Amino acid sequence: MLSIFTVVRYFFRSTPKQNTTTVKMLTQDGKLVEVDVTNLACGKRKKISDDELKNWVKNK
Amino acid sequence: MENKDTSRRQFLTAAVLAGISAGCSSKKNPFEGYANNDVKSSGKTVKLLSVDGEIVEMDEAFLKPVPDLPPVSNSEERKGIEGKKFVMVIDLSRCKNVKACQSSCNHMHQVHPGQNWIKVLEMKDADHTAPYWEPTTCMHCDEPPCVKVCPVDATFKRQDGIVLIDSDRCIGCRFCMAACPYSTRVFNWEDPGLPKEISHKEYSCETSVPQKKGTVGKCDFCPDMTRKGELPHCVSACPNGVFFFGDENEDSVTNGAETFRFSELIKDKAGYRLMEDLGTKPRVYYLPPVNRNFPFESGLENVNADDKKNHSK
Repeated sequence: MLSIFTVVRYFFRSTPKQNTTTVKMLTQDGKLVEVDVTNLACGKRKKISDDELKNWVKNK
Repeated sequence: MENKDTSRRQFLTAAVLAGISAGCSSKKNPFEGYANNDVKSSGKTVKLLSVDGEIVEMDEAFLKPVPDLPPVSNSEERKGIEGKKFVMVIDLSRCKNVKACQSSCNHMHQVHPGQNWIKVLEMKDADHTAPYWEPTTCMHCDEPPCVKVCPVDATFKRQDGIVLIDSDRCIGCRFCMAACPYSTRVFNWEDPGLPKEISHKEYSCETSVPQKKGTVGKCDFCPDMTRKGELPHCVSACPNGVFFFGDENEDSVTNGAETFRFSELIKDKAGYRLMEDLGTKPRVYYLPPVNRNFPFESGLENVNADDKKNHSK
């Protein structure tokens, strides 16, 4: 026989958990932020040059 | 028999209630309010740098701030960060007495008004030599005389090289102030006059906040910032890039905009430490005031009455 707990669990079962993988990235004002990898795929990408890397964080 | 009926009734009631509540609830999971699908783009794009060296342009709305680190226990604070050996380099050729270092330090550590943990001194080595501006911090000595004389272990040296004060232990004997050859420590003679929300906080050795009456205070190299991987407040506040901070084990120091190999910088620019002959082995190095970025006179406008008083002593 089904217990009340089983019935309740059937109705209230949680939706399958979405796998949200995030990566940490650095903004130009020196802050660390998290971004979802799914959003990352949409953004424009470019390899950083040595000069850009040296001056990435703008002096406040 | 009676019991069976009751349990069946209970079961049916629960099933009906569950059905109603399931029907009333929307299909959307209430805990997914912040899922990315719901985020509307702001139209403002920002550039981000990934760990593998790629610049990605992305809408600002998709960024989530990295949560702050959990608070650290007192014993962790006393141990310090493993594998690090923090070091500071102060380039005297770049200093023009702006005192942004001092004001940011005072603000972030809630230093008592009229006291400074960072002092910018007007220096002159001899009668006919040119004067220069010299910012002074705690030297975070490897052989700290202040630590040796503290009778209650309130001031201590961590494995990452930082010398800190535990104000909860400090008894205000001021032996450390007498022992310090660099006169970097200050004594809180009066109540620091902090707002309630700060004065009621639990004291942390890493933030040195809140300062307490009857205890000693000093520059702490901002270990709370270094734990987060950020630069001390004086370093990031200086508009002229005078202060470099880094890890001697990694052999690199940075002022935020420029990064140098620590050993090469000290070697190439003839770095030195203050009162080397005392054997205190400070962790703060100075680069001599040669090829200056600014004339000494440009800093005179920031000299205030307190500075003049200190110099006359």
